This record gives sequence, C-alpha cells and structure tokens, in this order.
Amino acid sequence: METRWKFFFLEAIKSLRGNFATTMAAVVTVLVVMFIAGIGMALGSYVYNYSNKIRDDVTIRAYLEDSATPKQLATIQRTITSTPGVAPNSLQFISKDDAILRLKKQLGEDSELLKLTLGNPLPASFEFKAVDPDQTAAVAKAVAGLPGLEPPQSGLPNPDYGAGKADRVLKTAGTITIVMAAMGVVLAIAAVLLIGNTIRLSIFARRREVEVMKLVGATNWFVRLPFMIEGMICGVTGAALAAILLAISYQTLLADRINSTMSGGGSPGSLPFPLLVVLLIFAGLGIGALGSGLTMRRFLQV
Amino acid sequence: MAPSAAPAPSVAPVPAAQPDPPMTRGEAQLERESEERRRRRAEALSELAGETNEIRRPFAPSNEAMILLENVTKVYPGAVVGLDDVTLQIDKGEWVFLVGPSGSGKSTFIKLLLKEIDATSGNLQVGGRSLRTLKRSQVPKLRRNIGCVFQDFKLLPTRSVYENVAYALEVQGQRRELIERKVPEIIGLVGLADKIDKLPHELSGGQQQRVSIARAFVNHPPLLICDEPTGNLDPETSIGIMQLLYRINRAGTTILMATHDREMVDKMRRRVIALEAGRLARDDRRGGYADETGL
Repeated sequence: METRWKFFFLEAIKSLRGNFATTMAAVVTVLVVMFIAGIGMALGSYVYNYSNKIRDDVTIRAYLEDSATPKQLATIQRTITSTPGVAPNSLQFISKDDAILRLKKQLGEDSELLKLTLGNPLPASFEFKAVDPDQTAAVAKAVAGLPGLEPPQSGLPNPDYGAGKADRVLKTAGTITIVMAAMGVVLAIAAVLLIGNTIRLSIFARRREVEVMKLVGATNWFVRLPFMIEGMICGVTGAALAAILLAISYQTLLADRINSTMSGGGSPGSLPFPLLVVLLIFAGLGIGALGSGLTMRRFLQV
Repeated sequence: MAPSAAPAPSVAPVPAAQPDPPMTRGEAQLERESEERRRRRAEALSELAGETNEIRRPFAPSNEAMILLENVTKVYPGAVVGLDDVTLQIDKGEWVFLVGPSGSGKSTFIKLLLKEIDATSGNLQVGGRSLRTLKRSQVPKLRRNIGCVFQDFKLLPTRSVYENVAYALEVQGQRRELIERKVPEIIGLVGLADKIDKLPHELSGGQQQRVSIARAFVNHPPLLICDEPTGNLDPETSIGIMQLLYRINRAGTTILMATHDREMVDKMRRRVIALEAGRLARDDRRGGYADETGL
C-alpha cells in the first residue's frame, strides 16, 4: 500500500510538471481567491472583535454632586450593587482628584486647557458596567434620579453611558459584520466555482488520457487519486503563497496604521495570523481535493 | 490474475523497423525504388500468407467460447441501431477479421465487448462471463483481460514508451520488480528496445502502434481487440504490425480485428465476420474481404 501511495504521488507530480500552464492557472486562481478571502477574514474578524470590545467596554458613569453627603453616596452605591444586571466588581469610585488626574493623562501635563481651568471642575463619579452590554440602558435607568446625583441636563444625561455614540458604533459594526459575512459567502461560492472551473479545464484537456487509462483497466479511484493529489498540491501551494503575500502586505501596509489608530485600551486584535494561515491551507487542501474529485466524476463515465 | 499467471508466450523479437532509404535524385532511380518497395511488400505479404497457411493445420479451435453473442441488439438513443440481433461465437485462440463499411456496427461490437456501452437486449459473454450481470466495479478487471489496439494508438502523450507500457501493469497494482522486469522485455519483443525512453510524439506511427501493442499484450490477455490497427499506417509498416499480431495470436491469444484492409484480409484467409447495418451479413471460416460471389 505504501508503494501505491508513492506511485500516486509521483503520478501527480509528473502530471503537474507535464501540464505546467494549467498548474500555474490553478495555483494563481487559488492564490488570488485565498488572498482576498484572507483579507476578508482578517478584516471581518477585526471588525467583529473591535465591535465586541466596544460593546464590552460600555461604561456607565453616574456623576455626583460636589455637595453629596456620605449617606447619599452610600445609598447610591447600594442601589448600584443591588441592581440586577450590574457586573459584579465592575463598580469603581472615581474621586474628583482621580478624574482630574485622568484628564491630565489624556491631554498631557502641559495642556493649555488645564492651565486655564481654576481648581477642579470635574465631578466625582461611580463607574460600572452591565453584565450584558445590551442591558446597559436598563441598568443605567435604575440609578437615575437618586439624590446626590447631578441633575441631568439636555445633552448631558446622568447616568451617562454615551448612549448615542455607542449605539452608532455598535450599529455600524453590526452592519459591517453582516456585509463582511455576505461578502465572505459570495467569495466562497465564487472561489469554488472558479477553482472548479480551472480544474475542469485542466481535466478536460486531458480527458483522452483519462479515457485511455480506463480502457487499460484502471479503476475510477486509480485515475482519480493522482488528480486529487494534484488538486491538493495546487490548493496548498496557492494558499501558502496567499499567506505569504498576506503577511507581507500586513507588515508593510497595515501594521503601523492599526497600531497607531488603535493605541490605548490595547489592540482589539483580529484573528491570530497563524490560525488564519492554517485555515487558508486547509481551505486550499479541501477545495483542491473536492474540486478535482467532484469534477472528475463526469469524465470517468467511460 | 489469470493472464499474468499464464506462461510467457514464445514470441520472437521483431527487428526494429528499417529506416526509409535516403531520398534520391533521378526519376529512374525513384521508379526503381518504388519497384523495389512493391516487391518487398509482395514478398512480406506472401510470407505472412505462407505463415498462415502453415499454421492452418495445427490451428485447432478449442470450441471454448472466448466471445459469445446471442441475439445481441444495441439501439442507441434516437432509435439508431448499432447491432441488430447478432448471434455468433468466437473461440479461444481464433483470429477473426471484423469487416463492414463505416456505420455497420463494428465499433458498437467492440464497445460492447469492453462494456463501454451495454446491449439493449440479448446475451453477451466474454471469457465465459456475462457482461449483462457484470457489475460496474468489475469492469476494470474485464478490461485488464482484454488488450486493446486502436487506429489512433491511444497512448498517454506525456509518458515515455516505458511508462505507457508500465501503466497497464500499474493499474493492477503489480509489484515494481515485476514491472521493471516485464516492461523492457515486452518492449524488446516489439522491437523498440532502443526507443524505451522516447515520448510517443517522437516515434513514427508504426512505432507508436508497436508501443500500444506492447501495452495491450504486457498482461498476456486472453483476448486482443484491434480496431483498425493499421488504418493510419502505410502498407509496409502495416505488414510489420500484422506479423507482430500474428505471433501473438500463435501464442494463444484470441484476436478480433476490425479492419478495412482488403488486401490483408484476402491474403490471410482467416475467419471473416462481416457486418452490414448492424446485421451479421457473413461469417466465413476462411473468407476474403468481400463476398466470394462478388458482392
């Protein structure tokens, strides 16, 4: 059995070399498709993770009046911790000093704005999160209107969870994810058709060979296996080249930009690159084997 | 496998085809040359005929059917009749010419034997096995027991002479040592030892046909089907091919040959089966290409 596999493998290599033009066509097809698919997968997973991160990061801030008494503060704290849906341990008290320190960090020590302000105009606040990001609004409502909280003004709700902004980001991310998924499906179908067609051309050019093999008494599998191995070699080669190309383009075009725009709060990260490569290689393997195996069926009816 | 177990036939090696004499100037010389060719061809033909005459007495059909057709009819889609109620038997070891005009059913007959197509009705047996009940998965086994030689050679274009012949053994999963021993032997037998690493397109038509005969015969199949094996070859080359096939037949292989080569059939005087419009028109033990009565 071992020698048979060696035979099939050698057969595949031989015909790959013998049909260089179609081999190249198949490899390039896989390469292009996998490259686009790779970009799609990386971007898609990036957007998906990024939007998830935004959802998870939605923080509810309840701003306190400077005049709030310790008793009022205790009541507010109790209300927050006892509200169902509030993530345990997410509650944080940000004092006025903490707030100004944070702003200084964000703007830089020498900020003109800070130099112009007298004293500390920032209120203290409680910060907390909802377990389920979708419950944020409901959780915030439970705290609203408690004595000791700054009264909400138009455009400055209290508690504030960046309602409008977060909603817009989440909506956009959702749309992008859906569009990406749809593109992925269309791309996958196009890839299979394109690769199937290339393989069909290659087999069609050699249908006489297949006919002869059958006449000499080759079983279907005997004819089919070298073709499938051929398809797999083309698929893996194309996928590997696509991975290399992806790595290069990521390094030269995207790496700096993503790091700079997404700095702070840590990169949300997309699909880990090694995983992406493994996925691409397996997709190439599967498409190559399935594509040629299925396409062969028509030509084996001799 | 039955065929590989059979003893190697005592087929003498055929010398490699002579290269054509160089082109010459002068009409007289040309004429002399064509005269010479005609003479050589006539000699070779009568030699072949002589051989066949000589073999006629020892030739004894075993009466065991190699091919058996009982009321076999093949109707293609669109009511095109390929074979029409044909009944005949071809015994083991026989040499049979299959003649008839184009469209008379010769190809249908051959395709039925290889189970490329199935008969519409009737009983068809090859080597005692009914093809009607033969499972699809058993078809490769059937074909390994039938050597095929075609007008267009049907060689694998990207493979060398050696690889083409070896392929017929590889499909059976034969061991490498056996392949490496058998293939050069059979290639020597057909007189192409010096061409063993050439690709088909580097060979002449006659040489390619020898390769395809080597491939067909390397299994020592009990039946060899030839579909106009000399149809694309010049008369001189044809004779070489026929001699080769004749030796194979003498070693016990049944030969069924579809052909249009009137001269060859007339000279060899073997069994002739003539088809016309799918019907069995004639079955002569020692026939000529055309009916004796001058049809």
